[in-house]
Amino acid sequence: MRDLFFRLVLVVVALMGGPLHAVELPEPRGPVVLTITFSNDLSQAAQSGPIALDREAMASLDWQEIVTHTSFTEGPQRFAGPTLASLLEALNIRSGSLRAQAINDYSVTIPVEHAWRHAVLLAMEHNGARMRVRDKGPIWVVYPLEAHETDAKPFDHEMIWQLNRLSVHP
Amino acid sequence: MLAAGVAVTLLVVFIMKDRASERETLETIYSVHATLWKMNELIFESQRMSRDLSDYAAGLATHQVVQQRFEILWSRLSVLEATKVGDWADIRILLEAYRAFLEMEEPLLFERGVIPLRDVQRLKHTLDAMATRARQVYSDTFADDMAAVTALNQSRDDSNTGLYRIATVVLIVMLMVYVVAEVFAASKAQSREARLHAAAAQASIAKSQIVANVSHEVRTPLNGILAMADELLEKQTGSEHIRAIEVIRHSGRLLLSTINDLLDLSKAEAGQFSTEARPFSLLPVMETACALYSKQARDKKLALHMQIQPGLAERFFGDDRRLQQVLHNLVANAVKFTEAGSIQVAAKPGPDGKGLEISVSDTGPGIPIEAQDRIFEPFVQADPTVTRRYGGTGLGLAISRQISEALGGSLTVASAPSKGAVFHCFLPFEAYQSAEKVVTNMPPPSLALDKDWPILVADDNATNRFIMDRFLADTGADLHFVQNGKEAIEAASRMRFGIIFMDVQMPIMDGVTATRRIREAEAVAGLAPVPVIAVTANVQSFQNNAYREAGMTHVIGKPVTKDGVREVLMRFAPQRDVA
Repeated sequence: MRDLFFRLVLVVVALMGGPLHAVELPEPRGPVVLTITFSNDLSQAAQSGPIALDREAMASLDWQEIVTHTSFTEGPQRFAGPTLASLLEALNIRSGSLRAQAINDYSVTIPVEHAWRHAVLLAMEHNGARMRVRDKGPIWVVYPLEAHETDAKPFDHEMIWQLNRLSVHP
Repeated sequence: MLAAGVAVTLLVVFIMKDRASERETLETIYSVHATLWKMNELIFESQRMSRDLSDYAAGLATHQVVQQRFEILWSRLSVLEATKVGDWADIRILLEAYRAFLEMEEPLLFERGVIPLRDVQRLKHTLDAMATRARQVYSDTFADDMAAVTALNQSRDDSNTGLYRIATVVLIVMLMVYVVAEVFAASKAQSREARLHAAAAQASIAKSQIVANVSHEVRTPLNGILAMADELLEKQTGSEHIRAIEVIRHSGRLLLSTINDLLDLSKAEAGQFSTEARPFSLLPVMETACALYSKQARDKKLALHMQIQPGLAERFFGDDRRLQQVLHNLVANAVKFTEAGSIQVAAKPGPDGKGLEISVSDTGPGIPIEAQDRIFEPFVQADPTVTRRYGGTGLGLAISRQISEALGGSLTVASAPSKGAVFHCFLPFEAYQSAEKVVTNMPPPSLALDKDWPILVADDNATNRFIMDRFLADTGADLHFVQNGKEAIEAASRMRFGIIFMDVQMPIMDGVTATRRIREAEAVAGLAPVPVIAVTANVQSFQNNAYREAGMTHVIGKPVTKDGVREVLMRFAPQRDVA
C-alpha cells in the first residue's frame, strides 16, 4: 500500500518536470567521488542517468563536523562530511534502500530512513585530514555512536568505507 | 551477616565474571571472524592488483587504476593491523612483510607518471608470491576448525589473571576466615557448655553431699529415739505405754529406712556403693521379705506366695543384706500397688544355670511401656499421683537397680497395663557348697562380761554415750566414758581396757588420730594392741581402709544397734564369758 503510494508520488513528481536533484546539484568539475544510480525505476532512469558528484558538490550539501566513536578506532574521532540526509533530500529520496558500494566492489544495503533516524554522515575528513583511499576514503559512512554503544557494533555492517557508488532502490 | 555479604559479593563477582566472559567470548568470536574476512580481503586485493598490473602492462588499465589498487592494498593492511590477531605470529610476520613491500614500492607508484615495464613485472611477481604466502598462512591458521576455540581458551586464560582472580581470592579468603572464626566461636561455645555442664555435675555432687550429710545428722538423733524405744520396750513389759512405744519404734524405723535409702542413693550416685560377700542361706532371706509384708498383704486380702525351684542351691556366696534390701523393695512395691489378686516371689537359677534369679510378680495395674525405664530413675513414679496415694520416696526401685548392678547383676521389669508386672532380679551369686553351717537368726545370747575386761567409750555426743551405756549396762562390765580423742588417750594411758569403742568424728581430737597415738604408746610400752572399734556414720569402704591403717581393729556403722554391739563383744571378749 505504502509502496504503491510512493510510486504514485514519484510518477507525479516526474510528470511535474523531472527530478529536482538535476537542478540542485552542480555538475562535476573535479574528480568524481560518488556516483549515484537508480534502479529499474523507469520514471527515474528515463529522465536522468547516473548522477556523479565531485568534492565540491559534496561540500555544497549539509556539511557537518562530528566527534564520535567507532568500533574500528580507539577513542573519540572527529569526522567531517555531508549528512546522508542532505544528499537524499537533494535527490528527493525519502524511503527505500540504498545499495552502497566500495571501490573494491564490496557492498552493503542501507535503509534510507537511517539517514534521519541515525544522523548518518558521509565522512570525507578524519581528524582534520582528507581521507585518502588507504585511509578508508574517499567516503566513509559513519553512524555517530556513544563510546559505550560501540561494543555492540550495531552498525558496523552499514559503516562501509571507500564508498564511491550508491544505487537507490525503492 | 558477614558471611552473607561475602557470599553475595562472591556471587556478584561470579556473575560479572560470567557476563564478562560472555562478552569476551563474543569479542573473540568476532575477532576471529573479522581476521578471517580481512585476510581474505588482503589476498583478494593482492590478486586484483596483480591482474591490474598485467592490464597496465598490456595497456588495458590506467596508471590511476593501479595507484588506486595500491591505495586499497594499503587500507587492507592497516585494517588488518588494527585487528586483534591474537597470538597468530605467522599473520604478524606476513603483515610486516606487506608493510615493507608497500613502503618500498610507494615512490615507484606515486612519484612518476608511469611505471617502467620492468618494475611492473617485478611488482606483479612479488605480489603473486605474497598472495601465495598469505594464502598459506590463511589456511594454516583457519583451515583448522579449532582456531576459534583455541583463541577462546587463550582469552579465558588471559582473563583469569585479572582483577577477578584477585577479587575471588580475597572473597574466598574472607569466607575461609569467617568459617574458621565460626568454628573457633563454636568450639569456645562448646567448651563453655562443657564448663557449665561440669558446674552442673559439681552442683549435683554437692547436692548429693548435702543429702548425705543431712542423713547423717538425722540418723544420730533417730538412733537415740529408736534405742530408747527398744530400751523402754524391754524394761516396761506390761505397761500401758507399750502400744505408744511400739508406734514410736515403728515410725522411727520407717524414717530410718527412708534415710538409709537416701544415703544409699547418694552413695550410688557418687560411685561409693560398698558391697560384701559371704555365705548365706537363701530361704530365710526370702522368708523374711515375705514375712515383713504378710500382714499388709493379708489386710488387702492378697495371696503372697513364695516359690523356690527344686534343685536350686540352698546357699549362695554374696551380699545377702543387699539382696534383702532389693527383695524388700520389690515385695513392698508389689503389695503397695496391687489391689486384688496375688503376689509371687520365686527363685530359680540364672539364664545359663548360673547365679540367682528372683522374680516378684503381681496382679497390679501394670506399668505402661513408656514408663518402664523411668520407674528406675530416682524420685520418679509411673504415675505422679502415686506418691500422694501410696506414700514412699520413689527411691526404692532406683536403689534396687543400682544395688543389683553394683553386685554385677541386673533388675528389669516386664509388664503391660492391667496385666500386672514381673520384676526380675538377676544376681551372679555363686552357689555355696561348704559343709560349714551358716548361722542365721541366732537367738541373742545373754552376755556377761568380766569386770577385769573394762570398756572405754569415746563419743562427743551425750545421746550416743547414753545409748552405749544402756546397751552395755547389762553386761556388768566396767564402763568408762570420755568425750574426745585426747581424753581417750589419757584414759588408755591410765589403765588397760578390754575394748575401746571409738567415735571417729570428735572435737579436739578425732578417733583416728587418737587410735594412732594409742598404738604408738602400746608399741613403746611393748603391750599387745587393745581392740579399737571405730564407730562411724561414714561406712564407706575406702574410709574403712583408712581406719584400719590407723590401727583400728574393727568398724561398726551408726546407728549402733544392740545386736551390733553384742556381736562385737562376742567376737572380742574372752570366750569364757559367753554363757
